[in-house]
Amino acid sequence: MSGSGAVGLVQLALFYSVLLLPGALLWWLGLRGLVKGLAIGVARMTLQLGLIGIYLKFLFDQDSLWLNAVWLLVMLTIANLHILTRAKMSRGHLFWISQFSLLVGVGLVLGGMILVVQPEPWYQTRYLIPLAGMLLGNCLTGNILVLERFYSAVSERYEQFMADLLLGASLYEALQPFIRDALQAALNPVVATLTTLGLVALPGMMTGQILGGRNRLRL
Amino acid sequence: MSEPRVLCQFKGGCVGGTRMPLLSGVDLTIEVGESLVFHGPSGGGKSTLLKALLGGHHVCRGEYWFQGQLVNESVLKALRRVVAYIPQQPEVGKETVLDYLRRPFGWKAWGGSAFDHDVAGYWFARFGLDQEILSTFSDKLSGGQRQRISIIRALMTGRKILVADEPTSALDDEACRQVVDALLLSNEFTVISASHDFRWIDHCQRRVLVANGRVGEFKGSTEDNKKVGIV
Repeated sequence: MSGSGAVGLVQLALFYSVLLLPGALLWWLGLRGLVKGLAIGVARMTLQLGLIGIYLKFLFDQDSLWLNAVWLLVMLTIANLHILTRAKMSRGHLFWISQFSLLVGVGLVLGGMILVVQPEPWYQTRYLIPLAGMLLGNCLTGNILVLERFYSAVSERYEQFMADLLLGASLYEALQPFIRDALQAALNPVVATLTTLGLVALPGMMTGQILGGRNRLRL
Repeated sequence: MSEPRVLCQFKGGCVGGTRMPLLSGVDLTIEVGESLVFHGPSGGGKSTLLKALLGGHHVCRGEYWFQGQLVNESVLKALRRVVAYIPQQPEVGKETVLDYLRRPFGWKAWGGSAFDHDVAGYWFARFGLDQEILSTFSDKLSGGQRQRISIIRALMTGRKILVADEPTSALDDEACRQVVDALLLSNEFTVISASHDFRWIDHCQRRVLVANGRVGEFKGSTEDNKKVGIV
């Protein structure tokens, strides 16, 4: 492949230095917690991306249904715990509800994708794990946004919620405006991405395939 | 003359927390057709007591009776179908006034009754509001407009028992007079309210002082209230 090559540690460190500018700006604005979160996030991402080569190679070599299932469950549990932590929810109360919801949601879409792609065997690791990873990544963002927005809206407009309840609304009826607001806030970025997918996000994702000489109309 | 009918009764209950209740030993009987106002210093528990009437706060160590029934979950559901609540600071959310007024008509408790534009128009005219604001987003309204919209929402239930928390606090004199006329002087409603506003308090038949963790009947005049600084 012309024009691409291995990225050394020095080049990686130099590239990460672009984060210094937003980091300094956030620090100057007094958002020190966010800078700390950013630094931890970058460190975790680097570590995970470093390790991904090792564990993915192992999973790809094995190509085992049970190993894939266990790995999916691990990914699901990590995503679930992360959602609950970031949305400041009680892990004890909501872990199983959230785990089950993620399992059903991701399972249904993943099943649909496998039906469309038809890998052989159906649990082939190089399809199953990346597809599940992409789905869980989107679930992570969407769920954190929707839960954060929902609970902050209820606490900000508690009097409205209480007034509706006392006027005879059921719990679900009184919560409906908040559910609507939260879903709108969480889905707005997704809709924005969808409407510009071919112009903004996808060319970026497909560049690797195009550079690799892959037919762009086939998976 | 027929005997006055008891609407609800607190018998020695505590309200606003179980360990350190905001109010304790609440003994109060409210009759159908009367207009009663809770008054007293801010933070004294007036709003809490109003919400407790509708099950918004627990009543502990005592009893709360409504229309001859000891209040429990099922009585509470029935209670919220006959009493209309008017909140203190109506936060009307991000919807148009029309949506805000219409939304409760989709609730089960409203029994499938349909939103009636004529009824809305009648109350808009009575409270000096222009119907053009129906299409305005609620967060663009002034405090006084919001307060009247909130009252209209309660009145559109057609219920005759109103629980109103500071219903005139954001209103100018003219709007306040219109609200007092419609809610208190018309004698159409049983009104249980909380207020600091003499323009409202002076027209209520009964005043109940809520202060220092206690609830008691106040027989003095408005001037007496002003002297002791409890309103």
